[in-house]
Amino acid sequence: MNGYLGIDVGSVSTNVVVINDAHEVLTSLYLRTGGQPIRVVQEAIRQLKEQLSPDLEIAGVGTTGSGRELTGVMVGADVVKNEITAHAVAAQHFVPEVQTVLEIGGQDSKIVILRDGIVVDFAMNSVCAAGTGSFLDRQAARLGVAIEEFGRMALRSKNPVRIAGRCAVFAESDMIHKQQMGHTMEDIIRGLCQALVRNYLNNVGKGKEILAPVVFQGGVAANIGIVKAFEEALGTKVVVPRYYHVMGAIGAAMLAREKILAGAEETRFRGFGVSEVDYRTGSFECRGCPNCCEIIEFYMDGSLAARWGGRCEKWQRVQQEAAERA
Amino acid sequence: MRIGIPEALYYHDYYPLWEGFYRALGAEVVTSGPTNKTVINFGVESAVDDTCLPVKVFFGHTRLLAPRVDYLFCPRLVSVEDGAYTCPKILGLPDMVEQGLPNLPPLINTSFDFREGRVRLWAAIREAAKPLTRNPWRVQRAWKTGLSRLRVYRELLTQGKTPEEARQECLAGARLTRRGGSKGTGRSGLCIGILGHSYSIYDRYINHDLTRRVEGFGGKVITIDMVPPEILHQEAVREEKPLFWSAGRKNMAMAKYLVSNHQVDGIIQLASFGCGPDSMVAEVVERRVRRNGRVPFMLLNLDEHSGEAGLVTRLEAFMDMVRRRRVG
Repeated sequence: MNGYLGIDVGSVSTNVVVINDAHEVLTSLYLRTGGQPIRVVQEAIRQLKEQLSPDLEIAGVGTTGSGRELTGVMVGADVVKNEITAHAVAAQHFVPEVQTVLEIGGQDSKIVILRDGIVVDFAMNSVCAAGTGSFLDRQAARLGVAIEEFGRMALRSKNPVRIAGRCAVFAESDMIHKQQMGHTMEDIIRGLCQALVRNYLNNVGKGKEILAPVVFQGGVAANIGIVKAFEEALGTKVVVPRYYHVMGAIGAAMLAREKILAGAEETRFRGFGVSEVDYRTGSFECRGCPNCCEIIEFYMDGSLAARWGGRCEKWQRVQQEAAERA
Repeated sequence: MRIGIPEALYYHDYYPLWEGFYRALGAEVVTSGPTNKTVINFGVESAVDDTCLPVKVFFGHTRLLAPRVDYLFCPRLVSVEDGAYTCPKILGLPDMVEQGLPNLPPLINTSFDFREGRVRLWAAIREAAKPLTRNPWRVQRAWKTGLSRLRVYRELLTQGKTPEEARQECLAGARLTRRGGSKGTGRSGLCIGILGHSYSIYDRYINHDLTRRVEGFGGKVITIDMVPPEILHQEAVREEKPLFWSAGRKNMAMAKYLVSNHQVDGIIQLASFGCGPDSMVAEVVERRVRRNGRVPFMLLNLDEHSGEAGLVTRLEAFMDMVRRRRVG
């Protein structure tokens, strides 16, 4: 049986799925990246090997997320795709008539607008993190509430307080102020959920025509408080798909399958052995010209596998030559 | 005598004019070279905090150039066409540079204001030539040389040459050819219109090599300079209330032209972080594009620490979207 591996290496979590030819999710993993993408991907591959039945063959690999390039080289990806396309593809599979995808992850958030099955517009948050998962995480920790409890607490609120959501720093000082005034935790949390949604719709969703069906995915979709706040703000039902937290990975796997089937190519997957390989990265500043690019070097078992980060072809060329010699 | 011209701001719009002018007057023209990391660092260090990225870049180039020249060419471009102004920061550029950078050679900071008529313009041109000559006939001849260079340069840009190629051909003595119709964009590949200021579109460092990246994704690029100016002018005057700034006007006209001619599969607008006019113009242009047609649009904001990753992700997603829309 053929399986297709999708890996989404984000800033906060690394998600891995394997789907079959019918697009069914055979297994899914959700791990914290913790700033160590290589180790986490290796760990995920190791766990995957234990979970999958031995007669399953990985026929294609897709990577996405901010660590997609690195991971792509590491595992031998057939498709290296941006998160926006990957999320849209997956959302469309689960809700074929979807017109709006809301995605809130650890450090970025995006909106994708689809019409008649085609992406017609999208946006990503620019520099502000006020509407993302890490901000919620941080606030939960500060309030001493488990992030898993956050949503349910918000639902118990009768009288949400208004919190300035336009900036993470201001929101935090505003929340402290509201606490000192004596508002209940539930009301503050629900107010925070509303503020986050307001901020998202004003920044990321600015000027976009948000039409139902609306699909909400990404790690933050686990938070029922945010889901309800979106439903209130948009006046429509918000669908949270079953695999909301690994949709990017599913999209990457689907794209890999598409490519393999279209080209009838063999996968470039290096096999489960990648979890045992000694990967190392290093970097240096190129002094070839005043641009001073930071070049990243990627080693597999001591030999140079890839270089990137330059504005010109210089270092990629060195790498090609090395490959030809080898 | 060495005259220094920083490769920033209006450099890509007027360089052949200035260069032709000063060379004809017998000066050696020195430029600062393309933007690089050192330029950005210099600029961020020495420019006023609140200013926009392009002005910071200008500061960086100026600082790099200053020790190598006898005069620094830093004119005050008030207005370059009838009824429109350049932006306030460009109006104040010589003052900002003088205040912000120590140990500068003397500046040639002549004000050029096209609204004040020919007589004043001639006076300005003579003033700009003062370090080299006071002979009005020489000045006039030099200006004509410069203008004819500029005409050839713009024609080459319309034909689809990059500014770099066009400058080199100008230097090699290219002459005005009959317009062979602007280089057909051909509808076989994807065509992406790029809006923005020349100093964002042509500065490969600050825009992270956008043009080459678009081409890498299988797209062809069309910029404002590839559209004959008459066409843009017609679009601009049709506007009920023309925009106040020249660059804004051109961008608006370009956006309308691209949308109504179905020439492009997508439009990318480059805006600079901290740019006052852009904060409004980019918004108006975006609304216009979205209202008028079904051309995909993306706004990219550039600033000095904008990571390449964010830009690449957006661009990749944009090209995916454009491609899928074309097929679907």
